Amino acid sequence: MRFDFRVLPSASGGALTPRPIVDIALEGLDVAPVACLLDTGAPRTRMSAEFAPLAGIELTGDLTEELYAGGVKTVGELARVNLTVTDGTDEFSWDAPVWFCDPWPHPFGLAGLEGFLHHFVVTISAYDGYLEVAPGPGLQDA
Amino acid sequence: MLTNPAHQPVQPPARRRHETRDGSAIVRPSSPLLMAHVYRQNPRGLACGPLVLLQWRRIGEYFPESSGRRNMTVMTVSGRQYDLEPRRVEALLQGTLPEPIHEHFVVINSRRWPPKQVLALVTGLDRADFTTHQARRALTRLGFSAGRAAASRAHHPHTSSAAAPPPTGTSVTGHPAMPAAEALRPFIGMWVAVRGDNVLVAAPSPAEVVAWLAKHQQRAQSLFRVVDTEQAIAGAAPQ
Repeated sequence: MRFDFRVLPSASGGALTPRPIVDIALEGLDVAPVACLLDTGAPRTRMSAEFAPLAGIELTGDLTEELYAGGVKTVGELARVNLTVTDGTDEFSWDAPVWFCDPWPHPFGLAGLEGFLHHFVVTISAYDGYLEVAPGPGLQDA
Repeated sequence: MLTNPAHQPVQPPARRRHETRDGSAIVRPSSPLLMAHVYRQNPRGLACGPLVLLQWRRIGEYFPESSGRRNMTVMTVSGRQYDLEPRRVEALLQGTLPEPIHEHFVVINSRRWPPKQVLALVTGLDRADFTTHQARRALTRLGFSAGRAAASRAHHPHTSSAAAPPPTGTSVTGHPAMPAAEALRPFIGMWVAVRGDNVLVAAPSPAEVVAWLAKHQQRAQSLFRVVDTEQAIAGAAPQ
């Protein structure tokens, strides 16, 4: 499945550089898949902690970590959740660790290695402005 | 000597000629236009061409510039008269989220609104008391642009494009395109839920967006916050 790069308005007029975004639906919040910036340099998949209660995910505080994301100090809390990506035609679901971070002042979540890239073969065509996501061996076997 | 017509007392429209000191005449238009060309005539009755623009109203229609009544439109909805003013309508919609657009919409405060929702809000009438077309007509009379949602335009190819909705189309991936940057500009700083090239809802928090989606049984394609700087996406340098 393919996703167009996301275009956002620029404060000075026109548009910002289009970014590779994947919309990932949390189980329990499938009415609003969360836009996640594809980040090949991020070891984990992270989202705002605001989404956890909306999806009915209970954060127990068993496993947390402090980190800096985008220059902002934040605390991430781990939860294993079922995630889904769809382009309206194909749909893939997988179980993955997601770190729900508070505070998370960023406009998107981060789709990193663990939780996302480990499960897919991703092809990025920045020139044409899209990324292609195909299930990796783990998802194909499932 | 020319006489400045703007200094002449306002006369009832029935009196069309006015003699000036030098015997020339000012011919005023009979229609109650707010602005009218004024022609100066010489004693022989030959018009010499446009002289000056004169602000001209019927006596009973005169409102001072500062009265605030100039933009007010009196209209009858469901048998009752309402004095509606665009700014008042815009103010009344502050803090309210637009409901889903099924077909028609009006653009107010840079957002798309179902016409019936707006007219019900500003008049207090029940939505069953008027039709979508009546609401749309009333709001376009106030100066708001109106249009049809892209999905419905596919079934009604001859509809008006006055509302300048975001461009529709299919992306390079063959799927419905996301909203263009300009369509997202009114929502900078807000969380938006989008589907295809439509912004379904925009609100200050994701919780409000999700609540709206659940209430209206809508399903979004993507939920994110609209930012307008590269730094807001990439983040500042690590500290």
